[in-house]
Amino acid sequence: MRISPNTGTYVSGAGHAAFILYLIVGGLFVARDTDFEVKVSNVSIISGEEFASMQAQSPGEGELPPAPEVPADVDQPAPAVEPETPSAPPPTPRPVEEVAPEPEPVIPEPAEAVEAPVVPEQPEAPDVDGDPGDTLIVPDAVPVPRPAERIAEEVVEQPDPEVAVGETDQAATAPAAEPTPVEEAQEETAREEATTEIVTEADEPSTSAPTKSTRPGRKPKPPARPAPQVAETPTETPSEAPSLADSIANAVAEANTSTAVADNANPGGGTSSPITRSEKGAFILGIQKCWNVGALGTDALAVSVVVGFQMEQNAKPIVGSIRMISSTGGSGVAVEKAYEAARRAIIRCGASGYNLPLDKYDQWREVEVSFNATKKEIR
Amino acid sequence: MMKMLLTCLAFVMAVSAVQAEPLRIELDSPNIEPLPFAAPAFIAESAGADQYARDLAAVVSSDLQGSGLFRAISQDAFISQITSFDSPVQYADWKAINAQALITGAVTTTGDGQIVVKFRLFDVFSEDQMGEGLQFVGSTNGWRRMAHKVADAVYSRITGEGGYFDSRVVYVSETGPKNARLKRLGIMDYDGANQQFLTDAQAIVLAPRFSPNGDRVIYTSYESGFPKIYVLDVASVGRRVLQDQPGTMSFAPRFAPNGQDVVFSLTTGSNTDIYKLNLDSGQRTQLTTSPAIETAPSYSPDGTQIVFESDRSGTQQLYVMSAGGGEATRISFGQGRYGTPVWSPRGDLIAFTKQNRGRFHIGVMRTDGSGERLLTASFLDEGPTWSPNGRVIMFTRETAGSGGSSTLYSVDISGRNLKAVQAQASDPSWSPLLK
Repeated sequence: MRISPNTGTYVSGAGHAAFILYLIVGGLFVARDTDFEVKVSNVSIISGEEFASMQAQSPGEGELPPAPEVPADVDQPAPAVEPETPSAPPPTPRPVEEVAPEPEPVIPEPAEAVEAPVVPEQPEAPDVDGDPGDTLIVPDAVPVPRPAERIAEEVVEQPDPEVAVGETDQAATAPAAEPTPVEEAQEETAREEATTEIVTEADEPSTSAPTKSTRPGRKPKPPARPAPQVAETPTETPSEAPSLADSIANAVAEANTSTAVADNANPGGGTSSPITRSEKGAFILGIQKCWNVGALGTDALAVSVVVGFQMEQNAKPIVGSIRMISSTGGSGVAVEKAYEAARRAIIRCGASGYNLPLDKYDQWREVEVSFNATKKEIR
Repeated sequence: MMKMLLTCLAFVMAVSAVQAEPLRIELDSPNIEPLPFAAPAFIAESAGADQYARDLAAVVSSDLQGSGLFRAISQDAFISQITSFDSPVQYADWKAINAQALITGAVTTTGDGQIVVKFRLFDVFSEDQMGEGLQFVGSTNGWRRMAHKVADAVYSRITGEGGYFDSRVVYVSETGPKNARLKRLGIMDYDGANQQFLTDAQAIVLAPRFSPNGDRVIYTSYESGFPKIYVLDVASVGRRVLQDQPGTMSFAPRFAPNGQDVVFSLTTGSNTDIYKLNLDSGQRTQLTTSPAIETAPSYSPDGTQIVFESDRSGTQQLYVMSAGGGEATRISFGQGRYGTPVWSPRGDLIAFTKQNRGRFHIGVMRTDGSGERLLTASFLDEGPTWSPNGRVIMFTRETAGSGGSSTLYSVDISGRNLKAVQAQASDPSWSPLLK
């Protein structure tokens, strides 16, 4: 088959003709996506004089949105700063100079940041120099995990609010005088405060040794329920006649409970509602803050004594009624010294009367206090 | 009907039980603070006793406060003054300044150089006297000892354990530069007062130890060029060498509680073992036979056991054996090396020196090795010795460097109340309470 030498020309011409035809009429068969929406607004033409007069007007008075006033912007953070200085009167707008402390949370002082990480402050540190009894508010020496939004493999207590949260404990470093690319200012981070053993001079310099130490007090026990106390006696008796014994026991328990809860006549003239847990706790604190075993020998520290005494209606102990009921551990001398320390505590802190509900005198007319120093790690 | 009767009976029983039931509470978190006390100047009851009256009260206060268990209230805070030894105590005035104990005393001098010191101790808040008043008579030169005795009595009446103030310490006095240091035996009151020297500085002396009643000191001296053991009489300062066996070195001596036996280390050839020597008969008994280095023996207070250090396990550790020798039981298992064990006079603890990670510690552990507690830490702490009541430990602390020096320190067995006692001194040994 012979091919004409113009075949290519024809094919090329046909192709170009088809392409041109497509460009001309092809748009008729394709939907256009670009749908330009033309917004129309009314405008007005103003003269140069009108424009000049408009510029001379206040910005707030124009149609444009009012720009924030400069004084308003400066005063805006002031209420947030003022709570840090309670003595400052809150409503008064502060001048710019007084608002200057605002950047403090953003750029901490380098000197403070270096010292801070060594001993992170406890969120609720007890007042060491204050009333020792205050430490008893701390419920327990054993760390208890707090409710936290973050779950991790180990418990991390709430850090100092001024310390940023980090992966590990990290001391804040101050930027060097001549900044280098290696040492960048780091934010201070901290982990929880913890101790594993008694800190002696072996672990800390003597200058930082505490002058006194108090152990976090145990959470006051809930007031003993009257019913079980009375019910002990019947349950220990042989139950030869179960039905009769049970009846008595149940009746005693029921009656005892009712007498403890309900008001009844008593010689003290007060109500007989049970002493509440907080009232009992306050009483414990009242004696405990005067209980000092710092001058006892090691044998006496191993002694637990139960001391009984009577109270006057003004909540002062009757000194002549103080007596030792029982003791455990230690020799005779050690018991005597432990009792003397307990007796001193009762008298000293009771001199002005204990914090007890006077209307419940009938329930604290007689008191028995167990002084147990054996749990204290002293030796 | 029966049930109603029973209910009424039970009600009556319950009401009576409730009314008789005391309020019961339990305290288990005591405060541990020094007990505040007041010690006004003693009353001078004769001419010439004024100075003694002031000094005695000052020493008593210093003793008690130095123990760390007491805190002296400044005399400026006193509301009322003690004007007569027999005048009644104004308890309210002492309560107002929170003085929990009050010490009153009086001094009388006699024409023959004697003084009479008497004192009373009061529990201020109980408004009662603690024990009977006591009186001491002695020479005017011994007024400090009488003050110590008053302090011991006060300490004992309040703490319930014996005191330690009327005691002495023998030590090695160190003077001169470190590379040419002169060493001689010194003796002083427990608080560093009344220093005296028992030997000259011609020969190096080491490890002095008091006899059980404090009348003799046994120590090691290089007087002959080799370490040998000497026994020195404190009163006469006379001394004699123990058995001299040529070609041997003897050191680390210590008295047995009976005062007649002495344990020490003896090196023959390359082996060091522990021996016992009876001072009366001269009979010597070998107590250990291990090829290791075994030294620093110390008797238990009852004399039935001996604690010592040995490297028989490869590292320096503590072992306990019978006083007659035989099988020893290792009691130290912590990291580091343990040495210079000393049995507490109470018998319940063993003090030791521990070296670990480049630091030295003074520590205590129970006699079975449990309950180890480190009380100090420094460049070099070593050589503990117990106070007579087993409450305080004295030891040597040496500072680093060519200009470093040795100082005697004391610390309570709780790790509190660390304080320097005497500079330029080492190797202390605490005496028993003086008679």
